[in-house]
Amino acid sequence: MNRGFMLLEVVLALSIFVVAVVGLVKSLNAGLTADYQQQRLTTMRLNLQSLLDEALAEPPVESSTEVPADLFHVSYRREIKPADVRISGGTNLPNIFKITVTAQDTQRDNRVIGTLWTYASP
Amino acid sequence: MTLIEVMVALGVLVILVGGIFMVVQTALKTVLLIDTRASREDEITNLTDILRSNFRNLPSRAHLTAVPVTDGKVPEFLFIVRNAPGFLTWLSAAESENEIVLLAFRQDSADGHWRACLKRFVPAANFPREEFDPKAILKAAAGIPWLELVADIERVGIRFFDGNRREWQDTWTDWRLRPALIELTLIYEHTKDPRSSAAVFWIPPVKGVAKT
Repeated sequence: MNRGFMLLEVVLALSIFVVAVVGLVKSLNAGLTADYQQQRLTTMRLNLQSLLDEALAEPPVESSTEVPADLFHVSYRREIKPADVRISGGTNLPNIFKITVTAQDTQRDNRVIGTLWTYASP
Repeated sequence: MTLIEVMVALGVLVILVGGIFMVVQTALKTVLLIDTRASREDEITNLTDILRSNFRNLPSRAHLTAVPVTDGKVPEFLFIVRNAPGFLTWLSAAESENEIVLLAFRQDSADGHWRACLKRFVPAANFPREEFDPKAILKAAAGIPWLELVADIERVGIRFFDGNRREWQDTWTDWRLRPALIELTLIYEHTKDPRSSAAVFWIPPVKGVAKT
């Protein structure tokens, strides 16, 4: 019997092919997105540590500094505040400061916070 | 089947196989690219983390200078660290308190890429304790192989923050003082979307002039 493919068979075969290709492309895209996110997180962590380290180079003064969003759409805020540290008996230990750096991911509404305590010699 | 039908069928088959091949090839290339980038990022991050923790724990008696060295062969940027037993040591303890640690960013004359290398040695007993001349130190360390930490860096940027003058400078020549901050920028993939790592390390201050 000499017969060709039915239209339905062709459409079915093409559909399966398209589904397979779309799946593959989606997985590639997911891989690239994960790579990009990983790079953002690494950069965010590095910047956060660097901002904490930079703060240690100056005598601590109560302040708030904003760093505008970078290439990865992450902005940073560094706050230096006197820390309320008390010993037994309720005595407040003076000259101890808390440095907080907040990395705010403006694309994903995600934030990472790094904290450091430092002592300012009078 | 006629010859025309066979040819059309073969044509369609070739197009389909070609398409599938292209898709698979792209997938493999992408996987390889992601894998390579992840390993590079790991290498650079590890180097940065090691440097950060070592500079942060630099002993109070340690001295360092950091200067470019061009001896006509291999351009390099050389950190000389003395009186810092334990600095950049992870597999074995320092051999002596007098050990000299050299951390160099060296440019490969063949491809122009930079490498981060480490060398440590104990100089001869009569080697001056206040000697920081890179040529004299490199001469004393000749014959000791460099340990390669990271290779294939496209570009290196190093700056030092002088805590007294409140300004950044490109070299650190006075071994009696120490910089408050060191900024290290490594560009490790120079594409349309260059990948780089910029980190600032803090060095604990030491009041006054440190004596050996």
